Amino acid sequence: MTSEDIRSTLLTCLSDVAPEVDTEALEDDTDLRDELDLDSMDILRWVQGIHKALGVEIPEEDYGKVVTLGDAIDYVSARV
Amino acid sequence: MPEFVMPSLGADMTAGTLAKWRVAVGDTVSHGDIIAEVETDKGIIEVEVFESGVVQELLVREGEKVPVGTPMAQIGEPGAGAEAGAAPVAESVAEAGAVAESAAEAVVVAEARAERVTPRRPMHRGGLLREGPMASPAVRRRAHELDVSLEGLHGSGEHGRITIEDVQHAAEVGPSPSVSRDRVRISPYARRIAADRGVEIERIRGTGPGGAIRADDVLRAEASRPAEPVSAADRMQRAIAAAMTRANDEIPHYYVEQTIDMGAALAWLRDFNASASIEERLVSGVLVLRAVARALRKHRSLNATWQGVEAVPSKEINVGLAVSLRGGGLVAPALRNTDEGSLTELMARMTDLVARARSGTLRSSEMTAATITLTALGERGVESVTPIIFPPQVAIVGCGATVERPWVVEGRVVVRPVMRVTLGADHRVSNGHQGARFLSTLESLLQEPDKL
Repeated sequence: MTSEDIRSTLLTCLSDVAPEVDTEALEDDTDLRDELDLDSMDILRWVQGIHKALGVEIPEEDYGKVVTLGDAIDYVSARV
Repeated sequence: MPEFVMPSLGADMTAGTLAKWRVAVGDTVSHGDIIAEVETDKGIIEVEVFESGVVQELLVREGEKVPVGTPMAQIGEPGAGAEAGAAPVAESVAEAGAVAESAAEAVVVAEARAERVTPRRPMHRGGLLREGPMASPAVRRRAHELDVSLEGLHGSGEHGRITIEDVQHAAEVGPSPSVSRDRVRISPYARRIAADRGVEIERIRGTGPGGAIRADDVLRAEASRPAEPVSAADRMQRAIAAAMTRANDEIPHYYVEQTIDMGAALAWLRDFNASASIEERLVSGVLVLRAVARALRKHRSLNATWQGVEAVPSKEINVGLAVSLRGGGLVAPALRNTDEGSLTELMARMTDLVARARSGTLRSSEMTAATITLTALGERGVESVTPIIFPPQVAIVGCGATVERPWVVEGRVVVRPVMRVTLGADHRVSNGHQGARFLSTLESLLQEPDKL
């Protein structure tokens, strides 16, 4: 699975949680909470979606490692 | 026969537009079924029916805006069958004939009623248009009363529908000079201004010789033109403004505030989430939500609705959750019986409710059932919130961020995660002492999260 595939899957999961976000315009350094206005429930739903799609489980203590889209791609790439 | 009426989906709602029928004549419905989608200032709401029986007649057409309380459908006894649908029309005709002042009026009213027999056909397709311009029965009736012809009248409603205001306007300005542009008397200068400003000549009443339209008439018509349609977000903001203004005007608020140690709750949550499957994980908000609901069991005066002259305590504890919509706007749908069931179940219900609030698929009962509101604004770091009560409720709880602060525990200063909770309540119903006791109960409950 390429980094692009992972990026695409993460964005699909993000769209499920926040359909109003223009995922195509997202930069890798976008802060998901601050810039996309996601709250803890949104993050949880996103993490659940990633788990369902890719089988990668992001434990709560690692939420700090997936602050930006780029962080999340790196995190998932290392574990998928 | 029971009638299904346009429900009030909040204290601030006066009218709603029927977006879609979810049932057809002849369908059997049961209490709680979703019967229609209604567009309000808060978005599209799925409306439930409170009667059980067979849909016999649909009285309002898709796209039609009607005031709260307007009958929208007739629900008959189960087993009555769809063929009975004709009967109410006949009754209506007879009834209309009885109240009409003249035979001619009776015919008009009867025709208007008869049109309702085929309500499921979309308004703006051929079928219904053959008979003339698009206008609801009420509009046709008004047009008849004011002796205004609907032919050639410009409709300012959705899809060019003629509204009551259009009819009133036409009655005030007199018969339109002509349907045909060529026969309107207008000076070349006035015609150019009208074209520049997008004013339709057919709607202008001329004050010049022989009713000719002058430049002044065009400018006057432009000034009196109905406002441009506003966006859904703007309408929602207006609805919020109306509700909050009313709350501020009518409700004597008092506030009490307490800083609550969240250490025990967060430690419990961390352990729970570490061992739970990812699908069962909880967020701290659900603990606060449950604790608020459980605290209300002991403080019923805060769990009530104001009914004109007094507060009526609610049997159910239905906490409304303030949900901000990312495109702007705010809704506070209710989670029924928030004090009952497991935390996992409450979490699933909360997740579903928030998702539906944001996708605009809330149900009517969720819009009206809340007996108190919880607003949590801590996600962005604010430490406290002084919320305004959402009428007809009599209390609201606001939570700030959970932040680490020096805290004294058994005589020693330690670092603890703490959260400031503010209760805003209606002083006509409760007082600060009762409010303080509620917060004290809330604090105790949050110290024993395993019991939530």
